[in-house]
Amino acid sequence: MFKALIEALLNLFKKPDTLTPKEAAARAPVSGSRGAIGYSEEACIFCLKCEKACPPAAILFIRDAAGKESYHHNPYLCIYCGECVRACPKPDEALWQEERPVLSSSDPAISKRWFAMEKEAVASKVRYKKAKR
Amino acid sequence: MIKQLHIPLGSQHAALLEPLRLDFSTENERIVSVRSDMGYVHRGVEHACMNRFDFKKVPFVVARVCGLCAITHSTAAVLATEQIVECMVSERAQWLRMLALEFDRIHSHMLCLAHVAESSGYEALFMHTMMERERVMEAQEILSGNRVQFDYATLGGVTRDMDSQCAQALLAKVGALKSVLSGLRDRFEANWSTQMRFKGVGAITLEEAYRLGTVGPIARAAGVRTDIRIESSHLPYRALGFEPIVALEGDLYARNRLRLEEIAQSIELIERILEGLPEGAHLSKVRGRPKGEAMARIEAPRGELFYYVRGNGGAIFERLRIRTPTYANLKAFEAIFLGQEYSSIPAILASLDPCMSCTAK
Ligand code: SF4
Ligand code: SF4
Repeated sequence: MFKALIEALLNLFKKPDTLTPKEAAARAPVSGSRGAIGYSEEACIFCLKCEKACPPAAILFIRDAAGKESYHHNPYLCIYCGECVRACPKPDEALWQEERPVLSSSDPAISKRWFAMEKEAVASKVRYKKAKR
Repeated sequence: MIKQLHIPLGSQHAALLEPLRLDFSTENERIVSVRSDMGYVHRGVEHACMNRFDFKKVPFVVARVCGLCAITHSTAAVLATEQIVECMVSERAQWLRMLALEFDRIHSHMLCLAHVAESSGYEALFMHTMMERERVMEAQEILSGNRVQFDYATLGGVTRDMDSQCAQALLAKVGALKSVLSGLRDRFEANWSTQMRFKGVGAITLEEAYRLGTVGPIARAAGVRTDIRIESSHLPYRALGFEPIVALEGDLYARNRLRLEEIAQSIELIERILEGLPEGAHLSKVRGRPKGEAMARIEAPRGELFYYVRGNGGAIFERLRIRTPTYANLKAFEAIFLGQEYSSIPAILASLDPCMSCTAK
């Protein structure tokens, strides 16, 4: 009883363990934290290893008639596992994982289009192969 | 006068942590029969692993079976698969896997203890335990890059290596936890009111625990010396000098005490791992495709987790079977509830640490 009273009194003067949203936003990310996936088209060699390695298929490459690939990433489907970066022959240059948390600023409509894009990614490659023959 | 009551608990209920339905029949306040129904969170994980994902992706898929023991699921899947593909896993990778497993055990046990406190009406202890648990979550982020989903164990090793800076940070975190652990133990074990709430409640005898095939902390708290960490040789726990902890009483109080002791033991194991971490590569190449069948057993925070995989040389498994600890314990749950006061049910249920998302997967 006495002990509990002292503890209760001490607790009145302790700093809270939780952070306010403002404090939390200002906090630096933990070193090595798995955050957003970054991509650079200039460095990419279009080997498509990342597309193949991604567990939830959150990376798609759609091929146009000239054979040019375009990269698409769905940040809402991505599980931020980093498998794509490990599979990439040019990690840190073509594909990398940042420490900053993923922001919700990306286009939410991408999830709606994603199923169609998945089909298109497969079809575009088949189409290209046929045209080449 | 005896009054018969029929009380359904769940599948959605404020005192329930997981979607589970329990149908109790009581005579006055005492439980006379119980029927459990699970399967509200079936997501077809096994089916997905056998149809949609190739074997290299399976560890990431099964990690989503459960948010609490994600790493145990992926480690078990990896350990089973590695037996039927060509790969050499370094000693270092195995030690790092054990490290992640022990962190997982600590945070899972702390969550369970917090919920026991909450369900028995001790809200302040719940908050206190959850506050200290945050140190472990932070340590997990330092180790693997994420607080909850480690995605750490992968075929051929672990996804990232550890440097001395990281090891220092982890040691500091477990050191901080160690210093507050005795305070927690004091509250759970020596507090007068919690003792009244916990002692002699929700007990299971040694014979019953054996007969019903109980696993994990529930079995160990009843005196069954079962711990996959020494029973299987998938991971080098013997090199760490691991010995299972066993209690005798089998009641809620014993389960709390056992979990607290296991947290202390896991901290010790983590310190030993960080001290004696062997040198070597953390990841090695995997060749070939799974051919043949294999199984792996692993001690999850809740008990034995069993994985069976079968491959026919293709990229996708022919069969994958997961047997989770809560599934093994369900029969014991019913036995434990019989004869108890209805008001103790939330606390007992929390102390049994059920994981329905694992069981129904
Ligand atoms: S981090 Fe994982 S889920 Fe996200 S794109 Fe890369 S491989 Fe896919
Ligand atoms: S793995 Fe790397 S180089 Fe290959 S396609 Fe993906 S981003 Fe480009």
